[in-house]
Amino acid sequence: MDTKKRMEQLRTMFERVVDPLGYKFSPDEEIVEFLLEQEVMLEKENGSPYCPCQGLTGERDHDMKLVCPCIPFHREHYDAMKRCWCGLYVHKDVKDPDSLIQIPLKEFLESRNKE
Amino acid sequence: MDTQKIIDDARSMLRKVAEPLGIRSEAEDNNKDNSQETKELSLNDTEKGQDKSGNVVILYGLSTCPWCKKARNFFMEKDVTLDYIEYDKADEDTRKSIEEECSSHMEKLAFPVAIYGDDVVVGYDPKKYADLIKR
Ligand code: SF4
Repeated sequence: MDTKKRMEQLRTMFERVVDPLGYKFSPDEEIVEFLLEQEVMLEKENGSPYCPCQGLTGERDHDMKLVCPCIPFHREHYDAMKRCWCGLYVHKDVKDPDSLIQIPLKEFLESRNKE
Repeated sequence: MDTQKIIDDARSMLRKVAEPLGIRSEAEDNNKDNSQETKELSLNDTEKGQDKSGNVVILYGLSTCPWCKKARNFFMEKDVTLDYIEYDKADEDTRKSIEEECSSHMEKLAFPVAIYGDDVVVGYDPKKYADLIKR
């Protein structure tokens, strides 16, 4: 299938999944287009639209948590960043996605344990 | 934005970095080779700058990750030696060692990962990167 067409299909499907989780597509359309295109490529190569920013190991348990949108598996971490790791999705109230940074998992867990 | 454009942009930026290095290093054959090599950069090559401290920034990324490319561009603009390795394009042994290295930092292969000496920065964060290479 044509890449652009598949990107649009994924966009519609993903929208339905992330909306009830409190997320929306990033207002940074350039990043969104780029990431969706990578996901279509990853889907062609690996069978699912995997995360473009996290590494696949070939182990099922690891990889299945990286099928986009992976938000349910990383919910607390992503909620703390107000974005997913790739920045494809952001919290619905986010207007300026550039102001959000990637917080390493280790740092997130340490700050959570302190609370 | 497409991948080719990012690669082309990165290459043209690299050329800008490599040319002055070429001039500076004309006296040394080795370095001359380096600048030649740098101009012919393909992803996963070592990008040899002239780091005064002799230290190397190792940057692990993915060919599909826009933040990894931003991270790479950040370090390429600085005066550091950068070793950029794409996990998804690497051979089996390299992948295994990246996996081990990342799990030792409690990370589950979330890229980019920048390593400088004993310090590690996971995620694209220009502020942390600037601190990292200042140390
Ligand atoms: S980090 Fe974002 S883009 Fe990557 S798989 Fe998860 S939800 Fe999708």
